[in-house]
Amino acid sequence: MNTRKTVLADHIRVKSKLITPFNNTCGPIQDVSWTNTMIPELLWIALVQDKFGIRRGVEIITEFTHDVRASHSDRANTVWAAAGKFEVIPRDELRHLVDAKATAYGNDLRAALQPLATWYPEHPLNSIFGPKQIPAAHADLAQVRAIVAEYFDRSSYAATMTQATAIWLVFDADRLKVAAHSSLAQFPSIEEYPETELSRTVAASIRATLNVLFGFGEAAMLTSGSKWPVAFWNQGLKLEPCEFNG
Amino acid sequence: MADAEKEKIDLESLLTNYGARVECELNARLEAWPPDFACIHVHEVVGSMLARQATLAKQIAMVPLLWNGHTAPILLRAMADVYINIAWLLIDPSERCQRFISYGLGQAKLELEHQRAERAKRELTPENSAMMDAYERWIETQRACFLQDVDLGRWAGLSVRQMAEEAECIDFYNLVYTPFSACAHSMWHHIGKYNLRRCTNPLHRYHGRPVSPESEPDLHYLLLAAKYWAKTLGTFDTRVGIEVACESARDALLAAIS
Repeated sequence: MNTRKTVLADHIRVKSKLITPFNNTCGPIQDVSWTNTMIPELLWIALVQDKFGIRRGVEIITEFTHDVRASHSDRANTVWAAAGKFEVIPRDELRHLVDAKATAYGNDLRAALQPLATWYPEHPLNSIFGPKQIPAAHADLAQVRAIVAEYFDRSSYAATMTQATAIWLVFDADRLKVAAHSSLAQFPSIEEYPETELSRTVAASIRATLNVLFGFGEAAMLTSGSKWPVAFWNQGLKLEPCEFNG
Repeated sequence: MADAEKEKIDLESLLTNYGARVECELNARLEAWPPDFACIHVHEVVGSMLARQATLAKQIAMVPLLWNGHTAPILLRAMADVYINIAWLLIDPSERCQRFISYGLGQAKLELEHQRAERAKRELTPENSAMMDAYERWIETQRACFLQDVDLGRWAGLSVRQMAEEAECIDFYNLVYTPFSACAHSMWHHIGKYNLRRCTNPLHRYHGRPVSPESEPDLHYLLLAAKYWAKTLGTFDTRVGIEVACESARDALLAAIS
């Protein structure tokens, strides 16, 4: 009697392929990459929070995106979380909008996003800056580098707060309704992350929801389709040489 | 004695220079073909395949003991494989490189599962456990295991012969890949020639006696490796559309020995 245990016994064989149970049930999924796409798209939020802390950061971002939504009826339903979304707004218009709120949040927003304006000429929010050349400061690049390095861990505190802010912008734009019993209904608990079980559950829901909203099809309200994510990673290759440990 | 010693030293420097030139040729391609994150997987697959070809060319060159019909064809067959892969991948790089990665990850997952099943029969040492964890992490950094299907067929969905036909290198397949496969797979038409010595005694019916003979290094195998490396670069340059001004390692080698 053959007593050999078959490996991957839970997989379904279709011709020469062993299909995972998940793929067999749900079909092949089109996945969106946290690293490739979401980090570049949400980096501006990360920089604001890194510069001004979570609470003030959310204030700046919320006020700014309110004003963007209010600036044109076509923009009222857009969730202004992914940087690539801002490409549709004429450069001068965005700058004037921020100029008009310099004291409320404009100066702070510019201060936070200066590293992108300096080192990443293709960032869609660079238009909030005037044509004046910004002197390159290596500390700014070091800041971007440190944030990106940390954000490779998607469940780190900072990355979680940035993702929570993106979801907050979806709620704020009134584009997301959640059932009262769902984890996301406990959204404010994210402030306790990662100390409480509830905050960790909410963080997991935030990550899962972002995957859907950055995904494909009609539900993908955060997808910008911008070339910015590719440009971001390509620019990194130009800015610093490869590094190899060992 | 002095002449023999001089010859040995010359060969060493010849091979060292050849290896350095191969490295230069590879670096010149990587310089002329920088990564682009719009299709970084193409750069990683084709670039690493090219780098592997350079490794094979250099390592064959650096070990004259391998330049014989017993061993060299194994490595030359691997070089033929790399050549056909690159030629075929570059016809439709984005889709094919993705398929190449996915197939490889599936194989890695299957290998890991086999190791797990085997290790379940006995207690794992900390080293075993750490190695398996590291292997799983290597897969998971690219694709979550629970989403990774396992293809038990061919990675390209075609035989190597079909790939060679599509890549317009069927002669290379017939005249290089297939003959060297006999050695790589220890087939009768290899071992019958290389590991049997015909007994000349009529009373023994001229049977074949198994032997494991010593072999003298044959420069021919080094030149073949150099030829396949140069051929790979030629196809890569044409398909990728780059021109590289760089001294040919093969030309320099031929000039030095002729």
